[in-house]
Amino acid sequence: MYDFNQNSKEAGNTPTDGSTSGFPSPAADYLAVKIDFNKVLINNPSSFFNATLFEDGKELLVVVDKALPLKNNCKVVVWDNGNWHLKKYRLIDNKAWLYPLKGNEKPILYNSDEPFTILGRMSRLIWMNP
Amino acid sequence: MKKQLWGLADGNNFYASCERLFRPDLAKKPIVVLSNNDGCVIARSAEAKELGIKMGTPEFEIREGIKSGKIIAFSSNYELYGELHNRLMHTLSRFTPDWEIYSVDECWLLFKDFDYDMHAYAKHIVTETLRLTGLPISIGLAPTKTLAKVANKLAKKDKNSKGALVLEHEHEITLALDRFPVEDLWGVGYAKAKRLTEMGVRTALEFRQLPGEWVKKNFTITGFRMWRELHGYPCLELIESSRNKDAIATGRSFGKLLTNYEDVKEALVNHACSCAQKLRKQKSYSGYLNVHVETSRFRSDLPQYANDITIKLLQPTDDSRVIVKAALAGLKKIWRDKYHYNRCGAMLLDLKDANTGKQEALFGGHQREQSEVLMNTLDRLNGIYGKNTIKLAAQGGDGKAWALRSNFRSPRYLTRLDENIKLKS
Repeated sequence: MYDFNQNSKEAGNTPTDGSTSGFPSPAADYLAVKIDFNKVLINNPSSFFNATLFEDGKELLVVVDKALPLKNNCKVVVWDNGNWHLKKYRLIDNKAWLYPLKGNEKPILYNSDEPFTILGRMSRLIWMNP
Repeated sequence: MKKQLWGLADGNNFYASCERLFRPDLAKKPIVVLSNNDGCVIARSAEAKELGIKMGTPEFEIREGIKSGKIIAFSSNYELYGELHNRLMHTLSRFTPDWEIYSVDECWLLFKDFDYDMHAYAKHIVTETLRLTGLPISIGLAPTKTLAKVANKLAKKDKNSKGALVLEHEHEITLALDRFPVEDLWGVGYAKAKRLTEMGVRTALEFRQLPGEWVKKNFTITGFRMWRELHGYPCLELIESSRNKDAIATGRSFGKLLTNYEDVKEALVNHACSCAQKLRKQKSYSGYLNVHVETSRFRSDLPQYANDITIKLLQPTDDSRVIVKAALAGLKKIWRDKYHYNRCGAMLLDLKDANTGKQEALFGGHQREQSEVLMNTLDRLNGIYGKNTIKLAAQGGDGKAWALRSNFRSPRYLTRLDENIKLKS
């Protein structure tokens, strides 16, 4: 059967695994599972996408979770005019509008007949070069 | 006995859908995906099928359409399709505890004692899978695997079904089989279909109405099993574990014709290493290696040559270095100068479980331990840092003369950070 365990690979020996030749480490009794950034940052591995945004000299990694429901004022990755963009999703009078995050560009009306134009909702934003 | 239903879920035009996920502008455009080396069509979107593009159509026959933009072509992007396959299967496995991966885009789902309204549940599977993965699927449910295959095909054809069809009751099954051509049945190949048509059997229902004894006599046990499955008696089970392969082969045509021994050698070394790595992954040892070279059948203007050789490995092994040495010894024997080679490949045979293999390899215990440590380390490093981070020197550099042509490959969005989606602000 396929292995669907999508956890990160654990690193090898730790200084507390008992492989020392002198006294046993007092830390050996306090071993815990290491922090796994995959688990912290990705809630739904089968529905996650990542995208890069360069803005004001910053390199931002946008984590998108397709499983998350869209809600008012959330940020979404949207296909518009031949490119992917990060936009704000706003519900006004039961209609969904996509607003640019910056600038005076007009909002666009989201056509739910073309659901693929929204890749998914942004779940994390990671600043890659702080 | 409580009821059980089989489901067959599969991606709609899977490769084309994988490409569309990242290019929504291609939603209604004819898309084709090309084979290795951009040779011929291996997958089509519904719109490309409507244009009459057949599977296996050579790229040059539709080149004008591609150039003019009427047809959108992609080179196969197996890293992308592989990752989306994993996601699709992972998502489908949430809907029942009993499932089996059948192919790159097909999954059997077994529903035992489900008290749900299965019509509604099948629709739920389709919409949830699309929502979670972005991949459109179809699903057919029925009391046996063969009937589920029928239901799946009809679900795709019938737009009202919205991708989900359940054939649960006898009258539904009879109606479906009556409009299902016998040649489209799972397990009916060209020869069987021809024979049945000659006998006047045109639909699956007509096949089902044949006497069982007669089917057993004339269509062997496989045909009889299919006949029984059409009557609603499950004969095929869930295969829960993937069986190790009996042979492992890697072979490719080159991006261009090669005449230089060193170039072909480098390609063969890489194929042999790839085989060895797959061998270790399934924890097997190999006793024999076969290598082959061939010129292009399509270049009748050039002299033709094809040859292969099987080499017995001194001891069963999974060591890349030993396998590569044997491959090169084989290549030297079958290599002839002055031909324009189009393809080479390696195949490991006589595979056995690693423990049996080690017992048979009586000598060289210390060397074998060293080899095991080295190969494990190689696989581990390449697993973490990417394929061929550590490789044999004979595998050569990256500017490969034999590299595959993939002029239309989309970015590997999900497996390479530098090829991920780039957002415009």
